[in-house]
Amino acid sequence: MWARSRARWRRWARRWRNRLGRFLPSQSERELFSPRIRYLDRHAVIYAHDSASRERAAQLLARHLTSLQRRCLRKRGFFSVTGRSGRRYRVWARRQLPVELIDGRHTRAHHKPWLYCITTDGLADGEATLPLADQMLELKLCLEADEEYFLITSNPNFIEGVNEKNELLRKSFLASRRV
Amino acid sequence: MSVMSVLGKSGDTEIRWDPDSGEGLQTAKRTFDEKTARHGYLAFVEGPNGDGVTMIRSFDPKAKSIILAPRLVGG
Repeated sequence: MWARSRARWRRWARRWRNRLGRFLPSQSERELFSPRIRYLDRHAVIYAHDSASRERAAQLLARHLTSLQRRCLRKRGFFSVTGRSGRRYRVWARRQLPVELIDGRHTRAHHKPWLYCITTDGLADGEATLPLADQMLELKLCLEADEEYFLITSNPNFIEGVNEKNELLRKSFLASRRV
Repeated sequence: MSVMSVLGKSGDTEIRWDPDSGEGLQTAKRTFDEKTARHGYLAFVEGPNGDGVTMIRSFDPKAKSIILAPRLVGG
């Protein structure tokens, strides 16, 4: 009896969801991001994008993610990316401190999360910032293609990251002087 | 047909060209040069099987898929 009424309730909900489908967020965005992330992205004060832009960005991101990454993004709010050096990063669905370095040496790390603050420069084109999905895609591509560029550009919130960044900057400075 | 996706405020804009016949090639090359040289956009190109992403500095007419994205800055 209980199962039958539950099935009836689900059918009713599905029917109304289909009827109201055009008023709900588009399919790709809904499949990729959890309701909480979608809510925060929709109601952001300075990063507001219309639903068509968000949907296009979500479609492009979905095409570049594996099914595991898509599921992880939907359930946990991030997906993992492996850089050229073999280090693993988490790209979080948020604007501030969006990239986390996973500590490969310790499975139970006794330190605060190692985060990098980085964003897209929308001011160069006189435009606002990219939709969230596009920004995540760019971070993924950058980590996979040129990890060193990412490490030099971003600002880490932990001392090891700062030291590494300074070392990379010193090396590139010396290399430029040698040329 | 090859495709170049330019990321912007309203999602991505696609520019297509045919590497064999050269149709649309000039438009794609002009957009690439303008975006990378003037606005500092980053260009990513995927490997033949969709893996092994690389960053490129000059336009590759034989690439299957190019993504142009605004440059990154530290937050």
